Amino acid sequence: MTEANPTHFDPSHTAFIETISLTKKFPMVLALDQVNFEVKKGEIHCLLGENGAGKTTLAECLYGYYRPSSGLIKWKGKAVEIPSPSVAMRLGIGMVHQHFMLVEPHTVLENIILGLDTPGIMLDTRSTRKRILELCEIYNVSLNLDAYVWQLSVGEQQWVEILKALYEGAELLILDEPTAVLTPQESERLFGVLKQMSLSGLSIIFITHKLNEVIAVSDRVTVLRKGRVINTVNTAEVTKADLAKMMVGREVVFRVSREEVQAGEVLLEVEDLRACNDLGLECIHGLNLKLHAREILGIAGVAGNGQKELFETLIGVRKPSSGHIRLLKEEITHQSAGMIYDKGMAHIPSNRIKEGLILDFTVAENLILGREWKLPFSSRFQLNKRAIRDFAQRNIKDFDIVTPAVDHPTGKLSGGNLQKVILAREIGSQPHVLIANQPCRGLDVGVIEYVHTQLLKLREEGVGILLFSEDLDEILTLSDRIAVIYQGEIVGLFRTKDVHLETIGLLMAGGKD
Amino acid sequence: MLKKRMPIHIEPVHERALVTEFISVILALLAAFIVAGLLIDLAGANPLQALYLLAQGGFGGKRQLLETLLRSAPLLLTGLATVIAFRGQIWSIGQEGQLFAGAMASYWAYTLMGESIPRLPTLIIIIFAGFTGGALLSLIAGLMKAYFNVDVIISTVLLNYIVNNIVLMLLYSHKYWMDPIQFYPRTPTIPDHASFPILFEGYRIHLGVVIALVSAIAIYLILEHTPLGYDIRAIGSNPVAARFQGLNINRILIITMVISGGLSGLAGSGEVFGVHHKLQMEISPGYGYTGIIVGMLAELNPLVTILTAFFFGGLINGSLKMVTSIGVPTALIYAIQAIILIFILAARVFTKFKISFRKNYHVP
Amino acid sequence: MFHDLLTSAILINLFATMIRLSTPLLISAMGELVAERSGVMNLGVEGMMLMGALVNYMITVNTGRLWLGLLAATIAGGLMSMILAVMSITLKVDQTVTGLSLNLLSSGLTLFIFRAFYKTENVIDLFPQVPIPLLSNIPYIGEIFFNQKGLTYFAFLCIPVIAFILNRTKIGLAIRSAGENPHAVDTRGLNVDKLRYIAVIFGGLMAGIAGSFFTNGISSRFMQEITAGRGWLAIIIVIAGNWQPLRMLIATLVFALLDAFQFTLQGIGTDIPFQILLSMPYIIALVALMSSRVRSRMPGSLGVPYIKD
Repeated sequence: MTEANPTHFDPSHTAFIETISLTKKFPMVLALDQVNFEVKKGEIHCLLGENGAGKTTLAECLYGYYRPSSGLIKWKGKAVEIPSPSVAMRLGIGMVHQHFMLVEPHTVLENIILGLDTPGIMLDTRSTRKRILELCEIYNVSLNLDAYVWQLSVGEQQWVEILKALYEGAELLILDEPTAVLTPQESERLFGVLKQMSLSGLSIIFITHKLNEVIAVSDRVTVLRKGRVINTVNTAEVTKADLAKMMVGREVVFRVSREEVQAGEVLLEVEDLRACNDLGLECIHGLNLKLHAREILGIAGVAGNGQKELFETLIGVRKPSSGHIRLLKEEITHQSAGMIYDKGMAHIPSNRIKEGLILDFTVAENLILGREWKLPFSSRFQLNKRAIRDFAQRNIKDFDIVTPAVDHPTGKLSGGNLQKVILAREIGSQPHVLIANQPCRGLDVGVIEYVHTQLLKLREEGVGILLFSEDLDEILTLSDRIAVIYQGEIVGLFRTKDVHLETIGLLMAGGKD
Repeated sequence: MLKKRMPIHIEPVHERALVTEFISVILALLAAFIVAGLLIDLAGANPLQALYLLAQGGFGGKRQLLETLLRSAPLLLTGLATVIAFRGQIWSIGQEGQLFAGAMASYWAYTLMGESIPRLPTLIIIIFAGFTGGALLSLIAGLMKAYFNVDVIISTVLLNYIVNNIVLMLLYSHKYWMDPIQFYPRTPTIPDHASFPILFEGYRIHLGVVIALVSAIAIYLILEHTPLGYDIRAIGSNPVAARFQGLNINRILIITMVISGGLSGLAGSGEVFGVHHKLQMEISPGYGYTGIIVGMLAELNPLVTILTAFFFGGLINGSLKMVTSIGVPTALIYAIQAIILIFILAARVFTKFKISFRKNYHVP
Repeated sequence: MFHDLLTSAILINLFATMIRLSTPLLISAMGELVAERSGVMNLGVEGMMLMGALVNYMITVNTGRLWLGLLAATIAGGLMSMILAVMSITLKVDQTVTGLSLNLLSSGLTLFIFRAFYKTENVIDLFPQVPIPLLSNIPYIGEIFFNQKGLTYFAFLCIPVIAFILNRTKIGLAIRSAGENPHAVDTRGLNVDKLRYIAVIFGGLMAGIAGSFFTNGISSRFMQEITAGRGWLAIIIVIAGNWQPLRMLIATLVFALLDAFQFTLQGIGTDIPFQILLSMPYIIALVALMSSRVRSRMPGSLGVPYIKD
């Protein structure tokens, strides 16, 4: 990195924003280790790396949400301190977070106006509205500013986030995994708009772990691994395989091998199912599907099309308003989650910390959650601590869970190990059906491979697996059949080997052919 | 102004050190007693003398220690009621009302029986009624939470007020339970036949003290060694994960509330049939509320609750000495209790989190 | 008995009493609303009100000035809420536990101070009624609504003012957002903790004012637990009103009417034991809670301390 001239700023040559030896320590981890990184004016710069590589932490340091432990940030050639997001916004740095930072019960307008430095104590709705509409026109977006955010689709919500940043006059826009929630077509459109923005002089930092996107959108790419910069290269000069190697640090097998297996009898049958979301509005509209033994049925769809509610209804924690769910021909529609679990329907929730595990419990205790009243873990009214320990020891070995002891607090394990605890518990319950909701979200490549292998092994043993995922690659890799969910209905059902990505993408976006 | 940052920063500590924990508790107690000393000083008494009397009256000799043990029985029971409920993150603060409900139920059972049946079954029925009375009141709050999503904390507070009024109504009318030959709000004296047996000749230690200690061990065993206790701890730590894994939250909640209320109810029968030998408002100078503090200071550990209950029992007894000797109102002790709680809650933060102060920078 | 009740003089008195008794409920509930909309569940209202009632009594007895008493009560409520704010916002102690311990503190401390310093029961003056010119002359209505004490007018004025602040001002939007999604507020560069401090202390000041009304508007002496659960009713009013000022007014009036009813019946004399009458507001509160299952406007992050990752 060359020393920038602090007095002159020449947009064409000097870095627009630059970090020098930026380091961020958290209590347990070194998240960023002497990162040198720069973005030029008008460029789209990808930050590529696995989960936990430090991409988001770097962005949050630039955005002032985190304060770096040491190192320097230079903005337009001048060393700056960015102690808070408001300073970042004032400098001209805007950010769209992976998990949207929106107040859902408030309107679009209220979300954009929040925290703006307008004069007076009143909310200045009139002039703000006018300026937002102008921005909408430039980028050809139509948004109802008085709609509540929860009413919007995920794609529209993303636009609110982008508008928030643009409204503040951002010259540098940071997007953290923006396509994770979009259909392939929506992503294409976003790329187009980003390119239009960069042509008009906006610099963009695009955070992703998807190689295709790096190739499709970026001018340059910086690869991060375990908090360190591996390399910064011009996108035009590298291949996907080069990038993958830089990202993971070894050659990557892109596909887990999946053998064709003959599917068996119907295990799970869903007929004309209807259910409501938390706001009491119907979000599953008469859904039908059948899951066979020895089959993985992938449910593809954009987030917020009823996957969460369908998952919860199937496992019994959300009551359906009508319809039938049958497990092995037996009606389980109105049974409690406990009864359904006992009948052999295991599940992997999408949020392992909130929905899957009790972090205060020991690893051994978590491994029997849901079966604590069953033999051999308890007899009559007494827990059998020895049986619980033995079971834990066996699973820790079988599933390769890294923990100092069986009675170690679960909360201190890493994300990958947490997921293995859940896998061990659910597979250990010897289910007929496994319902997995985004089982690989936020995991490292190594653990993802492990989870995929386990799912495929389970399938070969005769278990039927319903796999919800927003990651189309994952669905294509694992599924025997793919069902596309859109607004609470299955809008298409295909054998994986007979289908094109474009077809699925179109259906995910609601375009029936 | 709103964009300025606070100068204090808090991060969780990963290993809690026993030493810092011990020191922080001592410091918190010290701070609480300094505040108490100030209050005593304001009230015109000598703080050191007052605190000496407090300690002397509570723990100064065999008689004082046994009296303190007697006093700690209801505190232990209401403390355990707090422990089991709070472990499940069920914020029941209905101990005071449940104590009176237990007292009323066992007194009612006694009035129905009189001296018609032998002593042993009489006592068993009284104890059973005490448990049931507290449990039923608590059950109301549990059902309201399970079926109408009424916050337990609010329903139990309201039920406390209602029960308090019911007791007053019964005690203030000759139509109901008021002693017919007197004009004090209390029932006639209960004969020895129905009173709890005394354990040591010459002292007031009665059966209720044993019940309280046995309950402490029972609650410990329930929480640590039964699937029910596992479930209570599970819903206390992460109700969502527990529900996803098929635990029946409402059933666990209701069972917990029944046990919790029953324990407080036992405290009520103990005071009526072991200490006062009549039902009157004085059977509880706020044991239900002190029990909440007792349980929380024990970090919701049933065995440690025995110690905290004993400590607070001593404080209450000591305060009685303080009031007779130098006229500092007993109410001081209720202020001190809460001050200790607040200081210890704050002190715990310092053992669980690393707190750093940083310069307050301004936004350019 | 009910025949007597229906004579117009008694009815007017009943409704005028209702309006008067709704004063502390409304003021404390409005303060609680602001605190809750910022995401902090202040369960210490009861204690703050009790403290306000005592401090108002103390200062007024010693100085003879009602206004000074009111000011001191307000400050006392504010100081109590500072404890809550430090504990629950800065130190992130569980809000339920903190609120509870504040109530215990207040109930012990007020009793101690009262017993230690006020052995003789001095009576203090009450604020006079302030008839509003012209309006108070309207038959019936004037007597019920426009011949009240200053604090009563203040209480009713709070409804539109607080609704306006929450909905139309920058700080109102920021407070509401802090209660729904504090992370979003933080990423917009606003200080969540500071917003919550402001809201909680505002709630404390209001609770102090509300508490003072017990000893400058209702009773001229202090008694142990004089607030008798009115702070808890304030919390219930917020829930039953689904966090919306106008609906909260309706809930307040129901509770106040029950209270007034019991006052009036006690005046007339009745066979119903008065302890039962005293319990009516609590019983109705339980019924109200059971029937207000819709909590659509409950702040999304209510009771959750904001910890940045």
